[in-house]
Amino acid sequence: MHPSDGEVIRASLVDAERFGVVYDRYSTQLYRYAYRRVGPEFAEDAVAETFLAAFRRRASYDLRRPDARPWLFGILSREISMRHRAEDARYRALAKARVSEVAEGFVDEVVAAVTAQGAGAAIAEALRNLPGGDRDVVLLIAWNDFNYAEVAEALGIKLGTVRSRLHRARRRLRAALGDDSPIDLFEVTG
Amino acid sequence: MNDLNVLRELGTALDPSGPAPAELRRRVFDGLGAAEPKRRGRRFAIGAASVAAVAVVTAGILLAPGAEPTASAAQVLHDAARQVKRQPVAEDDQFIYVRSEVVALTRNESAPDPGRLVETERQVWLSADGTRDGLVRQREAGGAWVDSPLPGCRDGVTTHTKGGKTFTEPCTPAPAYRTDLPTDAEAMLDHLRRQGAGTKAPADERVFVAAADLLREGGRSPAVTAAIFDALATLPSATLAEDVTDPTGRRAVAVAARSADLRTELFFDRETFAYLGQRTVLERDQDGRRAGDVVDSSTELTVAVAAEAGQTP
Repeated sequence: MHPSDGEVIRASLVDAERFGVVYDRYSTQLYRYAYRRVGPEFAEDAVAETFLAAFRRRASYDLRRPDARPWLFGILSREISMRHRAEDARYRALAKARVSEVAEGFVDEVVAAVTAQGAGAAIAEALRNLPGGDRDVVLLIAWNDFNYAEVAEALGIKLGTVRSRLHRARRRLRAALGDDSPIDLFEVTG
Repeated sequence: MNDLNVLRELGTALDPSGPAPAELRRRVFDGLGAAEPKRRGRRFAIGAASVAAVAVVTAGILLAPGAEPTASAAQVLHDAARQVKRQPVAEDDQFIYVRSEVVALTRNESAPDPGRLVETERQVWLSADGTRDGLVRQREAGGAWVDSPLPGCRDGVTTHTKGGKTFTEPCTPAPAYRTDLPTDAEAMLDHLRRQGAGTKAPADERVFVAAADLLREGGRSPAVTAAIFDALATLPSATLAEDVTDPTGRRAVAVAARSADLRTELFFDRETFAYLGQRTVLERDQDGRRAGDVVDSSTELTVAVAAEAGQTP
């Protein structure tokens, strides 16, 4: 038997410890996402605060929703936005990374491979300059395979707003990559 | 190249080298306890009727078995506070070394399961000023020691190793002793009251449990620990058991607080009143476990100052 997230959260209203199941199901992906955006120093904080906030608010969770992932990523997105300086610094460092620094062991080899092409550095800089709301949308889609409906649920915005934010974000990312071909929004399924 | 693909590649490159740290899990689970004390708070959420019943039963915290009226819990706690202030304090370039034994109940959540107790031995070296590389070395009962580095933060940069490669991150040094905790008893009592707020457990027990949670964490300066003990000494309902053994078998005295469900005990050396550790014991049968069963324990075997990480004082 595998209880749905909604069932687990319902059970946690009576037995608080049951909320640990939610942690065990989602901590890895939430931590990875936070780590990518704000780095090791702040990821742990952001994720801890996310779970504690979720725990406090669990009475208001719509128990008919079997999947708590959008709800949790929505809370995490707000936690990340409160640490925007760390995120900014992270992308700034990536944007500045150059091959010479790679040789000094300044950045990870994979980052080096990306940045050496110039694409990674350019896109990091573009990410840094996106409005926070647009960045949330494009990263939930690109890094967590969210569909439009899940993004809308996570961020509490309308489907149309998801589309327009994604479109705007991708236009700027493409511009940063020197790609001026039209955007095919059907690359991402709604 | 497609913008989303470049973004995905960047994402992969930014991935952490391992799973979410165990420390994060502990922090969240401790937080669940503090927000609505798990093991302690679960009965209080069931409904108004049982809440009322619990309130009646726990209105007065009972005397622990073996309690003697000759020495008071408050006296022991004040002595413990004096003792802990004698602990060596690490210099900036040294490490705080703690060797401890932790027993925790782990449970299979998908089935009715009374769970099993897992014992972990831990050795931790924390850089006093946060600039040097620390170390966590731990093993589960019978297993081999596993080392996890705690990279220090030097000149605003911390260096991580991932798959044999190193990379760096901006950082601010995290001193071994937390700097955000009060060092006088009154402020500490306020802090513990805030930590324990929001649950329906009796006020004294909440404060006691919040203190026990804080004592389980590392990163307390002797002054903070002393403030915790002095704050607990003001609780009239804390009880004393004078002739007990701690979870590792050392002869001890115990100061306890209990609710209808659980008893939380702090152990101190019988002679010196040095803090030894703590445990939580069931007060009545529940979840397939019996009254008197230990739910968790955490014992400090050694607290010392070390010159180097990995060096056993």
